[in-house]
Amino acid sequence: MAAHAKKTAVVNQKLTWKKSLKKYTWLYILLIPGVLWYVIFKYLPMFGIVIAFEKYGPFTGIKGMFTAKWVGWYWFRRFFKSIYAERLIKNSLVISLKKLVVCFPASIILAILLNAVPGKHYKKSIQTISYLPHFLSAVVVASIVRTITSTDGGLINLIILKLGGQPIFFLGSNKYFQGTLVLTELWKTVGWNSIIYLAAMTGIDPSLYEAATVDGANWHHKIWHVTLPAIAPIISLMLILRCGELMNAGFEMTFNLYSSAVYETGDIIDTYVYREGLTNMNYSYSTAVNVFKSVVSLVLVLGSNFGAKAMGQEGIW
Amino acid sequence: MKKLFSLLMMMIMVVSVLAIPVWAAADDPIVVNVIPESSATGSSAEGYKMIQDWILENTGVLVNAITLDGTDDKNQKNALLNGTTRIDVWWDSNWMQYKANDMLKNMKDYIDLIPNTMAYWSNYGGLMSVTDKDGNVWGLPRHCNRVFEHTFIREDYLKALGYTEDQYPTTMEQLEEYLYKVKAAAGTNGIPENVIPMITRSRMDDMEYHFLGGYTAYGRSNWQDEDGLIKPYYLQDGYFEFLQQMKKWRDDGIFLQDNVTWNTNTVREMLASGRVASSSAYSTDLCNQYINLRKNVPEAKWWTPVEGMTRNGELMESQIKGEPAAMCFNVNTPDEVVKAYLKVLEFLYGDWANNYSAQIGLQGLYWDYDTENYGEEAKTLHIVKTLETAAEQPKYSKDFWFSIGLPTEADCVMYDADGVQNMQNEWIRHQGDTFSAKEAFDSGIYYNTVDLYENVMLASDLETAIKENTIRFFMGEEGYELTEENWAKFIQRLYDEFELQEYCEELTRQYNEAKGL
Repeated sequence: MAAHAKKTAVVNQKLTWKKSLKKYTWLYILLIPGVLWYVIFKYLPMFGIVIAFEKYGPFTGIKGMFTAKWVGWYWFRRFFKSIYAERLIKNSLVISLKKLVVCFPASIILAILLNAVPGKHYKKSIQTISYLPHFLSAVVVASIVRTITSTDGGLINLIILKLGGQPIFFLGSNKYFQGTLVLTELWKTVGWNSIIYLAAMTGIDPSLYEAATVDGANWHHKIWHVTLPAIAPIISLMLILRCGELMNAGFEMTFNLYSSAVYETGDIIDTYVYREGLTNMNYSYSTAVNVFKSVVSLVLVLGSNFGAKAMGQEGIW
Repeated sequence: MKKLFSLLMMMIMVVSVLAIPVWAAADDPIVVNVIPESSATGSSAEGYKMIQDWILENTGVLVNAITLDGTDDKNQKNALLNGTTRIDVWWDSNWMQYKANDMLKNMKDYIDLIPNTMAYWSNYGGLMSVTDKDGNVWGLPRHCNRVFEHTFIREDYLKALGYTEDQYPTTMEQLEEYLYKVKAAAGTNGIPENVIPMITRSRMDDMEYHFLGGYTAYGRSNWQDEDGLIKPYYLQDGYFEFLQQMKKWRDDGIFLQDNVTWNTNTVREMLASGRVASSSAYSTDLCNQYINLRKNVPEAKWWTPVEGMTRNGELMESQIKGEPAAMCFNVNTPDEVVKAYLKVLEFLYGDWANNYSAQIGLQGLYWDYDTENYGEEAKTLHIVKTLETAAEQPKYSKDFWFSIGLPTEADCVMYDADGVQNMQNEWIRHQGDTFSAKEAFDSGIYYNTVDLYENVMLASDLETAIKENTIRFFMGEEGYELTEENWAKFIQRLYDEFELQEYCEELTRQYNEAKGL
C-alpha cells in the first residue's frame, strides 16, 4: 500500500513537472540564457580552484591545470605559516564588522527618515543627493578623501587647526585609517543601500498606520511597531547577505587609500591576494588564500541563515 | 519561403567563414603587440598613428604599443599577459619571474639580428643582466649600474637665500643648513608660503639610495659580514643613525607628513608645481617634469653636485645596481613575429635619430639638428633641438619608445624649443658617472628571486616587514619609537619570525655560486 502511494506520488510529480514545462514553455526558454550565463561564468570557472593545489604557471592556460605539479595543501600551509595570515583575517573581519555596525543600520535609519519626510520634492532631492556618491568610482572618492584629509591644507585638518588642535594624518596613521575607511564607505553607500528599505516600506498597508493612529500611537511608536516589523524580513535577508560578505572588506576603497604605512590595520585578504597574485605572479598561492576566504564566507552565510531562522525570521533557503 | 531564406543565410555564413583566411592572407603586415616601459600619456590618436605608420613604412611591421597609465603598471601588465590577446613583447624589471613560469622565449639565437642595437649596449654590460648561467638569453637588457638618485636643489632658491656658487651645498651638513633656511624663509624671497623643503617617494628606498652611503660602509647594498654571510643593507652599522636623521627631518617638517602616502604621480605633480625646494625622489620624476615646472615657474632651475654629495668624506649616494630588467619575448610568439619585431628594434635603437623620432615625433616636424648654433657638426655630435609645433599638429608622446634604449638615449644632446637642454636627456648622459655614488658590494650579481622565494618560504613576508616597518620607525608610530632598543628588538624579530637567517644564507649561496666559490 505504502509502495503504491509512493509510486503514485512520483508519477504525479513527473506529470506536474511535464505539465509545468508545457504550460510555461516560453518562460523556460527565456530562462535558458540566464542559466547558461550562470553555468558558463559562475560554475565552470570554479574548476579553476584546482590551481590552489598545484604549482600552476600562468601562461599554461587551461591545459596547464591538468599538467601542473600537484602540491596538495602546500599553499594553504604557506599562508597559515605567514606571520601576516592572522593580521589579514583580523583586518578583513574588523573592517567589515565596523562597516556592518555603522553602515547597515545607517541606511535603514535614512530610509525611515526619508519615508517620514512629507514634502515630495524635498524628499526626492535628498534621495538624489544621497544616491550620488554611489556613482563615483573608488578612484575619484579616494582622491576626494585624500584631498580633504591631507595634513597639507586639507579641509578637515584646517578645521582641526582652527579649533586649536594638531593636524591628524588620517591616511598614514594606523589609529585612524580604519575609521576613515568606514566613514568613506558610509558616505558612498548609505543613500543607495536605503533604496531597498524604501521600496519595502511602500508595500506596507496604510491602514496599519491609520489603525495605529486611532490607537494613539505617535510617530516613533509607528516606526517601532509598524514600519520595522513590516520590513524585518528584508532587513533579515540583507543582514544574511551582508554576513556572507564579511570577509570582503572592500577591495577598491582599501586599495586606493592604503599605503605600506598602514598595512598593520589596512592590509586585507583581497589586497594581499592582489599583490601576491598579480604583482608576484603567484596565482596558485593567491587562489589558495581566496579559496580559504570563500569557505569562511560560505560558513558565515549558512550560520547567519540558520540564526535568522532560529529567531523566527525568513532565511534565504 | 522560410526554407529558402534559411538556406540563403546559411550559405552567406559558410562563404564568409571560408573567405576570412583568404582576405587575411592578402599581404597583411605582421602585427606585434607590445607593452613598452614608458607610461606615455598625451598622444592624440593621429599622433599615435603617425609613428605607427612611419614604423610600418620603414619595416613592414605593424606595431601595437599598449601603454599603461603608470599608476599600477606591473599588475595591469600581468592582467593583460593573462588575457585573450597575445602580448608578444613586454618590459619588466625582473625577467626571472616570467622565466620561472615558462613564459619567455630564449633569445640566444636572435641577438645577432640586431647588431647595431647591441653595439650600443657593449659599453654598458651588454647582455649580462639577461643571461643565465647556462648562457641562455631571456630578453633584451634595460638597466646597468647607474646613478639616478642624486639630490637636486632649486638653484633659484639658493640664489634667493644669498648663496654664491662656491657655497652651494655639497655635504650633508650644508644640505641640512639649506633645508632649514628654506623652511624658515617660506613666504619670503620668492619662496612660496607652502614650500616643501624636500620631497621623496613614498617608501624608504629613495631616501636610502640618496643618503645611506653617508652613514654606512656599503650604502644601499647587500654586504658581506665577518661571518661570511651576505646580508641586506639594513643590517649594516649606521642604518639606525640614518633612520634617526630622516625621522628628524620629518618631525621638523622638512619632509611633509603626507609624503609617505603619495604615489609617483602625486610626487611628480608636486615637483611640477614649483613648491619643492629639493628632491630625493627618483631623478626621472624630476627631470621629466622640468618642462612643466618651467611653465609654472619660469625662473625655476635645478642644480645638483655632479661629483656627488658627501658626509664625513663618504659619498652619500648609492649606485642603483643593474637589475634583471628586460624586454621579454612571449614563448608562444611565432618565430616570424619575433624577427619582425627585432627588425623594428634595429630600426629604432640601432640609430639614435630614429630613436629620437620614436620619443618625440618625426624629424623635421618635431625636432631637427641644431645647425643654427652648432653648424654641420650638430649632425655628427648628435645635437638636436625641439621644434615649435603648430596647434593643429598631432600630439605625440613616447608610445613607440620601448625600453632598451638607455645607451641610445645617452648618445645625443637634446634641447627643447626654448633652447633649454632636456633635463632627462642631460641626466641620462650622467648615468654612467658612477664615480659620484657608492658601487654596490655585489655589483654584477643577479640574485634569482624565484629561487629565493622558493627556498625561503617567508622571504616575501620579510620584505614586506622591512618595507612596512622602516616607514613606521620613520614616522615614529606608537610602539615604533625610534630608540636603539626598539630597533634591536625589531631586527631580532626578523630573525625569530621572518627567517632572516635563512634569507641571508640563501643570498650567500647564490652569491658564492655566481662567484664560482
